Amino acid sequence: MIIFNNQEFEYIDNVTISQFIQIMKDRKVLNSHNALLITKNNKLISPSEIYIEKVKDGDIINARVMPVGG
Amino acid sequence: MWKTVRINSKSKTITTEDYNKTYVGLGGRGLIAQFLHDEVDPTCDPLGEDSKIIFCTSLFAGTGLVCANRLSVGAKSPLTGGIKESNVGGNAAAAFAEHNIRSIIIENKPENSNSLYMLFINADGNISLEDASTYEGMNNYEFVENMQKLYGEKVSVISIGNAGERLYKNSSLQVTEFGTNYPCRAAGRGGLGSVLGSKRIKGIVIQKAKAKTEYPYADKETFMRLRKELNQSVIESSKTSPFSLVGTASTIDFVGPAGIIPTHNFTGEISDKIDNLKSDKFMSFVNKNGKNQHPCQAGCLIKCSNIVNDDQGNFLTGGFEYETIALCGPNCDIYDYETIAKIDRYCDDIGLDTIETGATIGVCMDAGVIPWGDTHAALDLCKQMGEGTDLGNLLGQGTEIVGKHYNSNRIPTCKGQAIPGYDPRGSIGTGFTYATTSMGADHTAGITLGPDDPTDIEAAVATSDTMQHIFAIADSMTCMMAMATLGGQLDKVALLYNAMYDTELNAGDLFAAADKNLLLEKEFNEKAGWKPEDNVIPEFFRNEPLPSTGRKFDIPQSLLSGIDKVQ
Repeated sequence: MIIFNNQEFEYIDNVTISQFIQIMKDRKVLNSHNALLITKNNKLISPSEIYIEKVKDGDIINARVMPVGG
Repeated sequence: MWKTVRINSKSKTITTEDYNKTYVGLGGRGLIAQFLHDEVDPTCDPLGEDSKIIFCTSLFAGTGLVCANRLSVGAKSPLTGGIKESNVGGNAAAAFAEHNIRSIIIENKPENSNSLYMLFINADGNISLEDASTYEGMNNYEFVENMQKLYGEKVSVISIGNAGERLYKNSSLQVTEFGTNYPCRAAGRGGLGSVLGSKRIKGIVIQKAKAKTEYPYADKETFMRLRKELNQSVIESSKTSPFSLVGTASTIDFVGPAGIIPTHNFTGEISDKIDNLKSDKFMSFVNKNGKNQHPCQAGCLIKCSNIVNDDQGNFLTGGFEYETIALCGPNCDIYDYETIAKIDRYCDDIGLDTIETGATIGVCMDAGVIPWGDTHAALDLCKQMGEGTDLGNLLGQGTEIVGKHYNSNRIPTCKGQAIPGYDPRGSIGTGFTYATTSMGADHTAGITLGPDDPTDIEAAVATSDTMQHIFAIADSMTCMMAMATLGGQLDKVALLYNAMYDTELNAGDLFAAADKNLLLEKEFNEKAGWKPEDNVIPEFFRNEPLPSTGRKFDIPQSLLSGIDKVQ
């Protein structure tokens, strides 16, 4: 089981965080074209590490829009 | 094929150098940091003969990547005493790229302070220093008008106004905007206008290149495919982005009611009048005689800028942004767009940083120099800087010096630079950035703001650290508005980079490059005399709770100083 933004999803084997986020977008769970800041189990994952870091069963993943301002 | 142009302002010599091969793959802020690290003594007088002012285009200027025509300006800052990179949109970076210029370095200092010159790059790419004594004391709008008459309407101009000529520490460099060609885009922060002024250079004027430019792509086909994909993703995200639909002023809808916008010299007192500045009011104001959704540079697909015209339909200002509105508006108890837009125009014309100016006016109101919310008195303070009165000359030294002059105990600065539009008590991660970045208090160094802005200290510090890296990447290749989309595709951005520069980088390498960039800046500042204990947030933010939340700035000093680290 994976908890993503407070919703439960079935665990998917052998996917990176980046791939998992894409799956969430494909399933319309996530409807955003913005860059995201990801936390996994309350730890911030660098936007460069999302392509390496794998999702594990039981992970709690949260995504927020990357903050910019003018 | 990229060139570095070196100007000696004392001997009046101009040399064109092949681009240093060890610098290939650097652009914008990263290249500024490398140049300053390699060529400038960090202990030098920022306005002395050993200082240099450097202009660098971003990594992908001229290539058609979204928002890539960004210009970085760098020097040792007379305001902070540390390294400074201030970047700006407008049409100058694209013009440099057309001439295959990646960087311009202006060094030394003329013996005769009565001389005044400007750098001229003509359509054939010839570079000359021209006598500009006729334009001494002229502000930016009139100077640009003269340049357009002399060299053609489509000329790009970087210039300083009276503030830069008078070596004000709050002086900006202004850049003509894409489309309007008015000098309403500012490399505002750090007082870099005065560094150019100290070289007795009024500005840089660039004609469009006659010859079509060919850029040295390592793999053009791949580059064009990736560019198309990345640009399309920005187009998609812009369809719902408030920055595109309204402009950066849309930020007020969130930070206004939350009490994060600076008000009444950063007391955080919320006024009902904040409703006067929300998005619907902004749209009514801008679109009454002008328009929003204006691109400030060629290739911008976000269009967060705007054109503000006066009641007669004449151009008043452009690039009317959140930070200007926050600091020159609510921070001074001013809640009408018309006045704030006039202040913005005045600042752009004289060449003043609107953030520093708004914070300075707020301190003056707090000290009783002028009444709170007095729009005429606020404009008059700007005019005093334009006219160079005794009071104006004091105000031009920036918020910290003005605050100390009036014995204020509420001076909103970090490292001598005014805090921008987010109260550090309302966004503690952003406050951590203000205190720790090499840039002084600077929102473009990495904010953590938003509905999910961490309120626990550990997460706030971690988010600040990540965002400082993200903004360092952005400042080297594009504008931060584009990074709001591209930051989620760093794998693809790395491939784009490889297709341009014949490298084999991945997303992690981009982060490592940003890390090196930040370390170079930190090293420069340490040599300049900055100490870890200088990483402080003004005491009143620790003593006074933010009215909207009751929270004080409570990140321990030991974390700001780096004595302790988060786990």
